[in-house]
Amino acid sequence: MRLLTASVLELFRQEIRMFLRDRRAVVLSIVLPLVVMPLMLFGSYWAEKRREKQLETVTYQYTVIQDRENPAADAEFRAFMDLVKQTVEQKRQTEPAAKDKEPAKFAVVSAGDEAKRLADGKLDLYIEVAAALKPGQATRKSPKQFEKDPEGGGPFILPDRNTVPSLAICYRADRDSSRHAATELRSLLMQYRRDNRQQLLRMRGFNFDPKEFGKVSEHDLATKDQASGLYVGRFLTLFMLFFLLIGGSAVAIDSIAGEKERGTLETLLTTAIRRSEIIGAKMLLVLAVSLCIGLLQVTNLIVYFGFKLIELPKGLSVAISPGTAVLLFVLFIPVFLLMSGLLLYVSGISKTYKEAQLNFTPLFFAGIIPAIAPMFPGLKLRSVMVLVPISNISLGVKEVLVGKYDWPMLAVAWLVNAAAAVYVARRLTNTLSQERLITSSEKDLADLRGGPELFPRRVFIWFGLMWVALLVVAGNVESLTSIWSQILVNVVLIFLGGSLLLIRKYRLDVREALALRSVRWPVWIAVVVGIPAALVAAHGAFLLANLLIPVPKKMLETFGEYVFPPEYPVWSLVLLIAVLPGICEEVAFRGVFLYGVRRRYHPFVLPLVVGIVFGFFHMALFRLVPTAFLGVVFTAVTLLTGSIFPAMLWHAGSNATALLLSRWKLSPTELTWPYFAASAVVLVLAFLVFWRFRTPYPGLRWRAREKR
Amino acid sequence: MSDYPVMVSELTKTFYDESRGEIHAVDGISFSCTPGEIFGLLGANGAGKTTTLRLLATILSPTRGTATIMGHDIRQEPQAVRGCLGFYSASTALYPRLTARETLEFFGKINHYPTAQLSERVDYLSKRFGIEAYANGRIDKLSSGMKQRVSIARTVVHDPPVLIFDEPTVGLDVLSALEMQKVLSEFRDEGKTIIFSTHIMSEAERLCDRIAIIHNGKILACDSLDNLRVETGCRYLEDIFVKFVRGNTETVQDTGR
Repeated sequence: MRLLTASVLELFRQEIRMFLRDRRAVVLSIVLPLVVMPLMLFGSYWAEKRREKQLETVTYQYTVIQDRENPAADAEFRAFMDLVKQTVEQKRQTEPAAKDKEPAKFAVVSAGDEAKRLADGKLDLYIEVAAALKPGQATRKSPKQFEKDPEGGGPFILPDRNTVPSLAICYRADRDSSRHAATELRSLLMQYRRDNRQQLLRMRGFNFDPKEFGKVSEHDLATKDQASGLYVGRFLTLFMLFFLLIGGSAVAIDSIAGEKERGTLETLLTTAIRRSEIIGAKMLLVLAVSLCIGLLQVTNLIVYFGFKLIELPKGLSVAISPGTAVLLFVLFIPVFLLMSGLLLYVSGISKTYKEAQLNFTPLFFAGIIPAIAPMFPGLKLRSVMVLVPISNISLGVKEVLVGKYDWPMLAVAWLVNAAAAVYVARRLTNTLSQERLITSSEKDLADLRGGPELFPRRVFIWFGLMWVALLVVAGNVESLTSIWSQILVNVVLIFLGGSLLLIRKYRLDVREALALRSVRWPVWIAVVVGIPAALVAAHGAFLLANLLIPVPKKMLETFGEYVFPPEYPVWSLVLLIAVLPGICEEVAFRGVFLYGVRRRYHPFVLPLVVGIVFGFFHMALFRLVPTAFLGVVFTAVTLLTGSIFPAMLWHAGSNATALLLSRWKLSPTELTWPYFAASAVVLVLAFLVFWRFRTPYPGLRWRAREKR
Repeated sequence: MSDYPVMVSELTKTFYDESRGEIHAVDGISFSCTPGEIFGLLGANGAGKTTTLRLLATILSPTRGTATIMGHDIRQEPQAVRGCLGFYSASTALYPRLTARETLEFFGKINHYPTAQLSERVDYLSKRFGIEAYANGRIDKLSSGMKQRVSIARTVVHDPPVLIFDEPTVGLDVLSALEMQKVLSEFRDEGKTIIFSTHIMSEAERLCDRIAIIHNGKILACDSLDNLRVETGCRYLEDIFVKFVRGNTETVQDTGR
């Protein structure tokens, strides 16, 4: 990538000029966020104040449902309410902090048909008195009077345990006034209760404020800046990337995908400017525009804080020294370049503006999610996290703001992001050499004919839909809580049913698509030997992943009990957990999916792709690595043997072994490195057998070729 | 440098389609062009004309074979190749938010035309193609005829010795098409080498000094119109084209390809 040649600067200058002349882009990217944000904040601020004002003037209508066993409860409750109001009003006059707030007004109305009247808005709430105060238990003496004459008997006599008054406030949360009335009444009663309790304690000789009893004090030894640094550091990278993605997306999409549609990209590609210079100029453009928008938004926020439209959390100090600001800026540079490159890459791999807009959504999440790393407790930059782009800078920024500089790790994180940015820029440069990506080509014969020719282009979309179906249906339908229903829906209906539908829709040859071929007999022996070895190796992969994202032990135990419920007989679990997934999941992944992508990737890459997709279908994050590992193994076996059957046996055998180990209470946590080494050796031996007796999967793409 | 501004040798472009496998868009073609010549690539839609021209313009890189433009190899020196050619096609559009003058200046600069002489060159081209009156008007405000003129001026702003015109008259009205043909003739008279692709027989007949008939990525014949007439015994280019293409199709069927 060349950043500062004369051609780059000239192209950058023209791009900026064109951007500023594009009224729609300027309005959408700069003006609108600048105007909408204050309008929204002013609007909500004004509306909130108005609402508060309105609610202060309202007199809430309520009624009391009498206790049948105590008909006097209504009158008693009114008296009680009067007493409550009197106490609160007194408190308001004596405590300056309570003066500003006007107490809520309540008016009791006649009873009858409360629920309907409440629903119709004719009533704000009603109170059910379950066990009322007995007449005479509460005197009309105010607390003030009581203080003057404590010996004369107070108003707050402890009631009999069986006659403790119990009130149920019935309101509707779907109506503002009703909800507010309930809140006000509740706080009124609680305040009364607090005061009452205090008075009772005084009566019993407890002559100081109960708040002072057993008082706990805290002393934060961190400086105010350090504490604020932790708070700000958790969110800073996230906010910056958010602004960059939102601000840069429009210009990035327009910059390549838009140019393709307009035909100007091809014009540019026929000039003497280098591809790398084009990418360099466009990355500068996205960076400049998004930084400009980000800066405006930050300024905007500062103004809002200044006018107190947004309240800063208590004790938050946002003072950052110039040195820290420079360091943060330097740290952000490679991340911003990386994100600009990714935005352009999405634009580059899309044939049209619309396609680029669709592709932007996954990028948005892929960019934002790594930036939340500082929110996870215990994650430090001095760990394997230093190698994870974006996350490492997020963690570094937090540590810098806290005042703990880990210079070597910051340097490594910076270099990792810079390398990632260069890699993305190179990939992006390549997209400018692929014909299908240079021009927005039209539909070709495969699109028109459909069938097997079209299937490879659609396979990812269909599996994406299956994943969504799995997530939505299986994860959210309450009736699917039993293991039986889960397996039937997930494995049989979605995986097997979905695969068969695809075979039918695209008129695929069943034998070809599912790789239904016989294998030589030594393969079966190697599979049986390989089953426990792969299982141990998968556990090793899990332990490695656990270093990165630690999984609580409790979660694993709960999951184990869920997958292998002890109340089910073994035979039924073998059927559900081993046999059915062994058949149905293999039909989906080593069958239809592998068939669809077989020409898209090099055979060495295929197991990784199929394995990772297989891992993602197991939903839980902690299962991703071990299941993806097994997915890689199953795919590799299928590719070497050209048949799905060994993978089916391996899958079923693997699940059955895990089930039996769970039943025999054999925990894999006992495994040490010699077991992992031995399992690796056994796996290699098994694969040597597959290689020796190989009957490769047909139709693979061994040579790298340029896609149209 | 060889005497030929353009030399193409066994140029091949194979694409890979996930569903259809290998597609030989250009299949081992060879030809050369001389200065002051209009070399026509004549072929039906999908014959491989545009891919050939994109390979020569280094928009795409060849799978096999190579070509030189003014002695620069398209594989080794793509930037130098693009610096000495002008590429025009119906799909090469102009930036709508730049003015005509800004467009010419921009393309002059990124094609490394000497900065000191650029302004003078832009004035000359504006006058020559009659775009002075709207030189400061934004491209998106211009009519299609005006855009066409600016586009031609953009193609030659850096005064390249080799020009590639890929179906330049597609979508133009008769008068605009005739104007384009006139401009091409003028460029030839100035000694520029022009490679021109079309599927319109009359255009090829009128303009081209030599014609290459391209079909399924292969050049079936390459000669002057007179020689093609002698070879085939047909008077009209349309008949000549059909004779070559049908002959090739039959050959393909005979060999079972």
